[in-house]
Amino acid sequence: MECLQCMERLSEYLDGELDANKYRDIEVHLQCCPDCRKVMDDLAALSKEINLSIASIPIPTNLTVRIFSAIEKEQHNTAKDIWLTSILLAVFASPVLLIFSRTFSSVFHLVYATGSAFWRSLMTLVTLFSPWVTVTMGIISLFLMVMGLYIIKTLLTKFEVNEVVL
Amino acid sequence: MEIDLRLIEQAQAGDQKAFTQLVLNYSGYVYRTAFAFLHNESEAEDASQEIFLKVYRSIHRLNDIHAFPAWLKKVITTVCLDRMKGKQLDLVPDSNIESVSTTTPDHWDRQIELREALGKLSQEEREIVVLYDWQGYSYQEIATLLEIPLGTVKSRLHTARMHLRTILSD
Ligand SMILES: [Zn+2]
Repeated sequence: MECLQCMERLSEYLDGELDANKYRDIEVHLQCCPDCRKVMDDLAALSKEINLSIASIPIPTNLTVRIFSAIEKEQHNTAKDIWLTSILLAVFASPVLLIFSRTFSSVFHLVYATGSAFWRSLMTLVTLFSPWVTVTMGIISLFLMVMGLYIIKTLLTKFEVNEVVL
Repeated sequence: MEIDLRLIEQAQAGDQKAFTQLVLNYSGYVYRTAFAFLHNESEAEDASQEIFLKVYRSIHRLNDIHAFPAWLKKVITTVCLDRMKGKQLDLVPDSNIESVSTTTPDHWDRQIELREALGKLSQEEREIVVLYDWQGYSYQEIATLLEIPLGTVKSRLHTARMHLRTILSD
């Protein structure tokens, strides 16, 4: 083994990342080559020293204060979120609660009564027409509905295309 | 990293005092690791804040409290690597914290010298040295973390160490 090959593998040798054969090759070379041994010793010492130097990095005095204030702000925001959620829930739940109110129930009943009266008069009116007229009217209105939906869809697609271009 | 399992359990349950103690216990380690990666004081402080916020938000989702050290290490690494990816940091290392060197013992001088040398490495080189030597990740874990081939991990780590050695011998 030559020095260049040995030096290239020194980190893997030190980190125990070599297979047994390569490990032995390097070991043999190191025993007879002081240059490579010097590099190996330097690298081994370096790894230890790196850790010592990182472990002694000075810590800013206000570090924990800053961390605590960031967490406090987060707690404050969470509390705000909880309030918002409860208000939203109350807003959405209110229609359900309304049914239990007597005033609303009477209004609801009034709407229902008017609707059913309207429906009965409509049915009486329909029996006056011949069956042919009602069937034709049904077909025409269905056609108009489909057309309307198609137009709305085209309009919406056009709108989307514009959005992308913009 | 020493672990206090009871403390982690209490913090998980939402005990504020326990979480405060957790911050006091680990802020040094978190900041030092962030500084080792980022080599900039204010960046490391911001990163420490972000890391503890993440811990605060998700510690209750940690299933096995014994995994806390590995989990914290992962949070630190993710935040720091993201920050390194996100912006090109100042190549000039922060000099004001090293200014104490004149009146300190020899081994301190050597540690400061080493820190400065680490700061002179390229971002990629420093990253891999910190991941392997300080964080203790294996070659394979680093390959996964950085999404690079195992061969690249080997050569990059070795190049970084040789570079560091050259810087220190100058
Ligand atoms: Zn040799």
